[in-house]
Amino acid sequence: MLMPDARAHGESGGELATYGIQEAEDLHRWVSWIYEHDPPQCVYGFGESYGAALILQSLAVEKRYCAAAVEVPFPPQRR
Amino acid sequence: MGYKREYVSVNRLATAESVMRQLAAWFDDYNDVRPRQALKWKVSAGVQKPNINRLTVRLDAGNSTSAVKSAHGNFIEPFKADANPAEAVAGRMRSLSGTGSRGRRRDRPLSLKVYRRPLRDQAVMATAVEAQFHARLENISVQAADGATLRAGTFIPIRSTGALCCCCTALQTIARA
Repeated sequence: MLMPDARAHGESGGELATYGIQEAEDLHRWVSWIYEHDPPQCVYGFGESYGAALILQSLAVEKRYCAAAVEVPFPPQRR
Repeated sequence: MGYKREYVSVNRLATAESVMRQLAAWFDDYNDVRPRQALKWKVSAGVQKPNINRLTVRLDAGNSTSAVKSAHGNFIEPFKADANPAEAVAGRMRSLSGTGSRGRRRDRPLSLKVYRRPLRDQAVMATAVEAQFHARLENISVQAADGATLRAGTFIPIRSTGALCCCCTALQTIARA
């Protein structure tokens, strides 16, 4: 189980939180890290709130999730 | 919420840089133009008490200098207009870090520089997880595309029991559905 700190949060670097613009690629890198170090049968994404929104946006660039579960992501900010 | 509804939701947010460039106008409008019902339809500027979180970020292209002006009217660290806008805004946000309390953070309409809550009790959590789930907590890091160091904690099974955590079991069920 991998629990990443989003950029600009916790112990991760990065000056600004970009609400998914850069975090989607960050999550893609984390999934790649998993496959490089201990290739699993499946990778599942699980996120709540901000983490849920990041998981959803990362689906555009990360196709290796077997499944993702998200809880109360923030709504889209585009109309 | 007004800020999110009236500025963020109705403008194009195609790239991070375009958002950064729009922030100046949004802050200016919110502080100096937009009437506020709570203030009997007066403009915020000149009515509210000085508040460090009400900022004016100026990124005027073509001018030799730009500056961030606090609600006190003081300019903070003028910077070159030809500086990278993203870096400029980041610098301004950085200059404010550490000054906010929880109450102040609620006043911020949009926060790109979020309050960084210190992680606590990691050792206690690691011990508890090891005892209950027979897994060892390790801290790891990767480099992001922009060079930022991203960190994570990962639980490594000390010995395989053939059982996964409840979340993983649920996710496997979803995947099979």
